[in-house]
Amino acid sequence: MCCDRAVIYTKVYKEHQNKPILLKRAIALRETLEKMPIFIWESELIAGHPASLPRSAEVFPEVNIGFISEIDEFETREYNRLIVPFSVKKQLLEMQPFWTGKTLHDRFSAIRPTEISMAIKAGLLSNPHEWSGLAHVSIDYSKILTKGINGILKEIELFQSDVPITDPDYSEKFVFYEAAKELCNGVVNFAERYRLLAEHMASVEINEARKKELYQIAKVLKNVPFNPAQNFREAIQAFWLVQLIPQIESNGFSISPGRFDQYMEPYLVRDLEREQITLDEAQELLDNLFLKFCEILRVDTRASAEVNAGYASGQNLVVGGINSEGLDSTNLLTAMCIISNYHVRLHQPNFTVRLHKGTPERLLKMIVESISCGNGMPQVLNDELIVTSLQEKGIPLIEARDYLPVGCDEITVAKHWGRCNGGYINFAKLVELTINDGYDLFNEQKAGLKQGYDNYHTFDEFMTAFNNQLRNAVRMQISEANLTDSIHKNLLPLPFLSLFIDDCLLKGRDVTEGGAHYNTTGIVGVGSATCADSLVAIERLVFKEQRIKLHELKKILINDYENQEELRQHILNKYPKFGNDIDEVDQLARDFTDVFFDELDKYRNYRNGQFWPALYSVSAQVGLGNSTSATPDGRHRSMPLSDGLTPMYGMDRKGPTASLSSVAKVALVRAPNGVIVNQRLTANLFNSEEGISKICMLLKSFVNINGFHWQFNIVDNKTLLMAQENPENFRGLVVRVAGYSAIFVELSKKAQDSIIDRYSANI
Amino acid sequence: MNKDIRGVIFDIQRFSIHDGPGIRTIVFLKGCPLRCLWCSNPESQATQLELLYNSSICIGCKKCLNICPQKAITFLNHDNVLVDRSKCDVCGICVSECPTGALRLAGEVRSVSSIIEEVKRDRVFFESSGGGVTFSGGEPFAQPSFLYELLKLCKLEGFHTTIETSGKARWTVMEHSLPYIDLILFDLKHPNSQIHADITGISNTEILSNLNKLLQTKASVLVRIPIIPGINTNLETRKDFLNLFREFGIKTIEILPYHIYGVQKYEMLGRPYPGNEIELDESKETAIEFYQYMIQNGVTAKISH
Repeated sequence: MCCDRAVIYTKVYKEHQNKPILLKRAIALRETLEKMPIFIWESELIAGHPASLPRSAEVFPEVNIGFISEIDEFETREYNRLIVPFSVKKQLLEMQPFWTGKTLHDRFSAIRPTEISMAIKAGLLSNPHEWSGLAHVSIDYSKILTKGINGILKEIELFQSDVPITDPDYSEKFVFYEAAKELCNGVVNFAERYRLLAEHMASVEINEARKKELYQIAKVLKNVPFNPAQNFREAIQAFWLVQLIPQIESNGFSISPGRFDQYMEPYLVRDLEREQITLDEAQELLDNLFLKFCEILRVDTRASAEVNAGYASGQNLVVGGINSEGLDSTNLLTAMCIISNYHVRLHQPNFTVRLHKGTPERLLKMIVESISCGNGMPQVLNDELIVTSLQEKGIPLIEARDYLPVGCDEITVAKHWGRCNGGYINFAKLVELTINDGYDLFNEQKAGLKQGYDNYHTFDEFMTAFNNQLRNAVRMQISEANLTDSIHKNLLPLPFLSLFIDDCLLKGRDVTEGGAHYNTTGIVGVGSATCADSLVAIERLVFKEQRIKLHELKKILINDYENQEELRQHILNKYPKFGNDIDEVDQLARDFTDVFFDELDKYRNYRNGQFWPALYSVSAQVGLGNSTSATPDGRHRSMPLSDGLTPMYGMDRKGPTASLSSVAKVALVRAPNGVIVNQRLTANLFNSEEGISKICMLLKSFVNINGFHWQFNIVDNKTLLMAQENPENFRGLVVRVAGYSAIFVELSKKAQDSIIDRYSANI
Repeated sequence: MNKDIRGVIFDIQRFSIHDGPGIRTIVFLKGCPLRCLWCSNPESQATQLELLYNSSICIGCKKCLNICPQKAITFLNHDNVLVDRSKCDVCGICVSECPTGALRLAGEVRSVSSIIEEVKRDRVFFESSGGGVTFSGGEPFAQPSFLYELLKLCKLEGFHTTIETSGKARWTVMEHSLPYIDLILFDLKHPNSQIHADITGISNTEILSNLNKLLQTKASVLVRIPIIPGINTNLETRKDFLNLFREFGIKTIEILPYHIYGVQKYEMLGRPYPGNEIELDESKETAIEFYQYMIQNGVTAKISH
């Protein structure tokens, strides 16, 4: 943990108390870029680090300072550990009084309605942005490549001079443009510091090869990011700086490179034609960049570390897919990115390939070979479904074809502030609330709608009550998401990001204030399979077979199936489970997700945009599972929920085609904010040419059946158990957790177990 | 055409990738005229339903003890029961009440149409992969009219069809089905008739005659040799196999390495394992030796997984 950024921010906030927040934050970021210690790590070819030490995390005191109460646990806690030097602890304690009462979390606590606080406490809702910045965005990287900071400065001047002094928002716009200019200067100075450092290091370097590399870095930084990039090296360096700086501006997750192979390829091709770079050099540079993505770390509170276990930073880099004309866009860089993923094999970037009906066979084969290499990436997305889903939300076809995933696989387009993680709704909790009329079974606290009855005569009656609980939860999460927008606008505007998201400069308005062209908010449903399996078990147990009464089941769940193993086994083994292509339960999943989608369609968000649904969980299925009682599907109290739209671990007993068929019955096309489906495949499938060709066929099937997202874990259970016992020998083992990959031995025991469970269902 | 014909199957397995082209769904028909010593699906041999008991997942809840009308189940120890096979009449009542699935039935009487409805669910996978339906067993030809209707309906749906057969069937039965079969995976256990009888219970005369006739038709046939270390792999047997391939004009074969999946199933059926347990490493090596011998003698061979 480092606190140089925190010290500078504290100083600026103190010195500029009277300045508007936008300007205050712009000055603080500029000063950080100008003053935080910098370094160029040995052998690296790309300059720029997010912290003042290698693989470290800076503190964002304006977001959260309360974590200081947990500071002594950071080195030993289960998730996302950080070493905290004594000097850092001391400085943080010194600044604590200034920030206490002023942070994001403090503001939430002050104005959040009680019923929503209770729903959060009960684990029905969860809001990641109470503890972190927003982000979840892909900025317009081509802008830094084609215009440079100088071009952007000109743009700012032009737009600013267009605002008449009589404009009702003149002063706000003025502040916004001033902040924008501050930041342009900050970027220029930041890059210049690295150039001087590289030059200095080169002058004292004895190793000739390294000396040359350092001069190369200095040379590149002479032109970018001020001017348009002239070659591939400059393009990579300019890209990295604008990928990096937003992560110093805010500690939001999932700042995503987007369609990297599309906007970078022209630079590479031109260099190759002019023989300015060899393919090997270009590949090495790209491998270096893939490593750089792993440097982004966050200071997580214990709770948010649970949700983002494995140092997730969600930088989603996507290649392949169709272009804006609908034709296949595979190019040289598509293949090179797959090779870099194979070379580096770490947890970042979150690597995605877009598939469509015309994806070349050769690319499919490369994808499968890469998946089998061990880090579970790339994950795949289906253009055929996703483009349609965006069109149905009103995005023009040409823009929809150019979509990109951020974070796990939250779909956005250009000029879009998607606010993709507008908060989680725990579907499994809704079952508790329906059984107990608005009170949960975990603490017997009120968390939902009190409808005045819990004695249902038919399953239809039960479902009516359940759907009411669901709608109520959606409305509460919408309120929470809007509150989040409002608080972030007031406390954590993002002037740097706003430079790169159209139409912020045109409108003179920050992204958090609705400056983007497209404004949406994603609301995320968690535990779909646990919920569907629970509902079908209730239907069978209580209504169809009438084995027990609902109030008896309630007691059993409260007591976590104590002395009820027989019943639990009966439920586990005799009732249908989502993921086996059984209509009875799949239809329930479709029905309640439709209610979820319908309810969201009714409202507009804080920035007057749409709410977009999602069915993923990052690793919230662990955190929310913690506070969920035993469920009627046989799951024990506090165990993880099903993740994303994946069938419950171990319950998909009929293999990947049946699982895919179940998933495709849900109206995925209505959930453009993202769907996550994990698939475990045994390693031996990939041992032969024949096996690889069959997995390619599976990917084609995924496109044809109208899947949304698919990702794979290819590790055998034996390896995972061994890693659990001897973590020191498996430090490099990377597994797929949810929408991202993580280093296995860095996960908690519980998270590890949940992955092992996932594997134990042998196909 | 009669969609209501019923037959006995013991499993429908989706996403199978080693039993024909593309992604396949396998329908396992129950009943087999052979009794191979190493059989890995012993529950496939008898045509009638059988009770399987998996002691490792039993929790000893004793529900089955009282329900069994024949009183065929007794309590063994804290988490196991004992099934008296001489009393059990496979009524299945215990199975429906067993919470863990430790007791289950091998075999299910199903109509042709219900099976077709189930395999149709995989149409998109067949179409995406050039796959289809594989009928295996047991010996699928042992339920001739059931199989015939299944094949015919699959072709009507446009599905690629494959048969995995031991080759033991009346020729007229095979011939009748041929128009609806795209690929025949024909297992040959041993070239020598006497030894064949010793290890499978029947001689190979009819099997070889069927193979010979099949090869005269336009049918697409792939001969597969299951490797049983110590039984069909010595040099003499390899030579006999080779002579047979030459005589029949067989240029390509597939080699199936032995595996031990079957061992636990004998226990579940309450039967002793008839073969000797074979080490897997031994099987792999033997398969490779067999493969090399065939390649050296001009037969194209491939080891399956």
